[in-house]
Amino acid sequence: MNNTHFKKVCLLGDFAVGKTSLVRRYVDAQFSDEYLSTVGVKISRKHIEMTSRKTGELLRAQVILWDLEGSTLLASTNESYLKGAAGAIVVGDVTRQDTIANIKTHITAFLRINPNGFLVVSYNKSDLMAGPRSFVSPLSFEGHDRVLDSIVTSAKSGEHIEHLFGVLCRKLVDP
Amino acid sequence: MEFLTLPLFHRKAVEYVCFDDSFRIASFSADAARYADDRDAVAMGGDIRLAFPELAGFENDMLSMLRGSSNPILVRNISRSRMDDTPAGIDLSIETTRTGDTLHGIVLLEDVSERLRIEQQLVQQSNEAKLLLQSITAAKTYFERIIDSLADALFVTTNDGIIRTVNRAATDLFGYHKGELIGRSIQTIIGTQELLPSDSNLTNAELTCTTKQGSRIPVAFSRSFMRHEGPVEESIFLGRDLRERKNAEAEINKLRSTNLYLNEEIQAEHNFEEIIGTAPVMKKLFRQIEKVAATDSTVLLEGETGTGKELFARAIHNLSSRKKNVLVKVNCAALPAGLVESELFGHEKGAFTGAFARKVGRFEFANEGTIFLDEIGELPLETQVKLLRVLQEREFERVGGTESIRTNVRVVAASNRNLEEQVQLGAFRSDLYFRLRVFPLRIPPLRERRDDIPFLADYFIRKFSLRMHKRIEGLHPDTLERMIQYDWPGNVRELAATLERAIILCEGGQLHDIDLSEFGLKGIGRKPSALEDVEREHILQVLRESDGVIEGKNGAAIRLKMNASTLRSRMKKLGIQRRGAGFI
Ligand SMILES: Nc1nc2c(ncn2[C@@H]2O[C@H](COP(=O)(O)OP(=O)(O)OP(=O)(O)O)[C@@H](O)[C@H]2O)c(=O)[nH]1
Ligand SMILES: [Mg+2]
Repeated sequence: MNNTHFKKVCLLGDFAVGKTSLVRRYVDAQFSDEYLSTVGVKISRKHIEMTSRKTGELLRAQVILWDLEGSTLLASTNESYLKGAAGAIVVGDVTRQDTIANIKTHITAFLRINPNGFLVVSYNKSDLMAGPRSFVSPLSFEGHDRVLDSIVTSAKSGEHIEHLFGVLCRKLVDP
Repeated sequence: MEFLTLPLFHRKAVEYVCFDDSFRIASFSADAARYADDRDAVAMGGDIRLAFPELAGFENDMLSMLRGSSNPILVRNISRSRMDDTPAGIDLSIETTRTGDTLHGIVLLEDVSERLRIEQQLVQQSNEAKLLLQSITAAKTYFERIIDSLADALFVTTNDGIIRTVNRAATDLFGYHKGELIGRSIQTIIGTQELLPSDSNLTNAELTCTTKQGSRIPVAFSRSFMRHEGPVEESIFLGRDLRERKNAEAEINKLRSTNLYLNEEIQAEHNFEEIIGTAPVMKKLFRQIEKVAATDSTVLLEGETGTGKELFARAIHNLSSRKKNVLVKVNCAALPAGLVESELFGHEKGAFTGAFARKVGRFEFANEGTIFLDEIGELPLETQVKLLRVLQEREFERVGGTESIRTNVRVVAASNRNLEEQVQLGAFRSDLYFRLRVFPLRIPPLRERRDDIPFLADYFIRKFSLRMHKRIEGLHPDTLERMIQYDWPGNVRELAATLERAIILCEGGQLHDIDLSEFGLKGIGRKPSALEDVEREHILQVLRESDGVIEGKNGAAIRLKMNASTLRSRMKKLGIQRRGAGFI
């Protein structure tokens, strides 16, 4: 247990976009339609294992998920929530345009504290999207080298949840 | 959420855990394990990050704190997904504590469950309210977007026409800012034209509206009513910019007329493909046509029905420098009397009932080209004045218009009536007649060029049999002879139609037994007996010798040793008619 790797990963995004739900889906494989606002931070951990793509050895890590309160982002007192994070998942709600537009702000805030961190973007609640399941972001993340991917997800249906967390964890644990 | 200090809730005792520089737990307070995520890790002096996972990531800060070069860190309102009987809310701070010379790392843990519960309720309420507001705003934005996406200008007004809101198309179309329109009367836009009483429904009413810049634009307005609970009522005005449609209409109009004329041209094409003439009269005619075509002179083609006046008009056009431009045909006899003028000269919108849009007339359309006025004798007297003016001054006005339109059109007129006679009867203006007669060309009837009949027959038999995919070996010599003898009152047209009919009926081989009188004009077209034929030819011959004069000492009557009135009735019986200066 001595050489356990800890990786702090934050979930950022406007309130009620589904941060808590994404974590719950990923960690406990559960989902609830009820909305319970998160205050402060809710900590979850997930033990992950993967084979190193370079050495083939088995890599283990404790991913500590910081599911943050949606409405506190820019308060300076909450700098400690972001501090020391290796990565972040920035979430927007595809049914609420504002939350998508704010994704960029969250990314900037995170990178200001953790300039070397990595991010993935989740366009969440894809199950509520009508029509074909493609989401064209109004923001251009191309060239933003810290953002690894932008993924359409649904905490409700589970769509692309493993991929969302997997992309980030792989980068953090097996860089 | 700002830090809430609620004195109501007494501070629980603060627990602590001390750690060394390899993040191992060194010591802890009695109840500290209750705050840990992994209680065994606390008891066994394991990695403090296993006990308190929220410390992961702060390693560097913790180390520099132990070196005395970093400030304490406070993490408020921590909860964990795995709760057991852990406090629901924890404030955690990383600090240092000094024992003698040594700095120890210390994590202070405080149970803030009660405060968190209160804060959570507040945040919950606030977020739910914000969500509701957001969805209302979203719905509003959504409907505003719909309204702004409308291509039509939309005005919502009160009962008495005060504008309450407008969409983007409205501000764009009329050049106002939204703020300038709200509070004003809709009359600003639609003028004082038709509006109010409030219960009048407007449907696609074409109104001339004024923009802010003062330009007048045609807009189709519809009004509908929006009923609310109670007495308040609002009107919705929807206005569609008609400018483009008007232009399109004009365009379509023009295209339509082109199409119309083209159809006529195509039909004309099928009348007779080419002029076949070997007879000396025809050769002379061809030379005349070549000469006159090169000029811009007006040409009057006179000839019986079916002689192919249209072909000659086309020949004149094609031999002229106007060849690359349009040849417009107008059959004056085919136009309804009331519409002749607007067909020829066009009309302005509203010039008469049914004139919904401006129409370009055929003279305007034929600009730079040639206009062929067939059956000019049928033109109403009033229109003749206008035509005269075009010929003299090369300009005209549209019906209902005041603007003079200049035109450069070559006129070729044709008549199968004796125009001179028409003039004498007062049915045709003499001034127009002389204007048209600048270059008169007489197209001879077929019976005056019987030598051409075999060639024409051959031409048409080939043409029709090819079209009908029939093998026709030509005419039986007897039949051809009969055809040459026949008078063809319907001229080349009759010849063509007769052969076409014969070929339809023919199974193949040689054509014979053709019914020649089928298409002839009644009265004139009857087949004359051999004796009458001789008599007729003789009278015509004498009439020619006497220059068409019947009475008097050099008249035909005296030469024929007949009473003048007897000669006249005889001529009538034989179908001899005055035609121009002579008789046929
Ligand atoms: N249909 C659908 N609903 C979702 C999805 N994800 C979350 N929700 C719902 O969205 C609401 C908010 O979800 P949370 O996970 O609490 O959102 P949050 O981002 O953690 O919100 P805060 O903690 O207030 O910042 C809840 O009612 C969830 O059930 C999803 O993928 N699809
Ligand atoms: Mg949450």
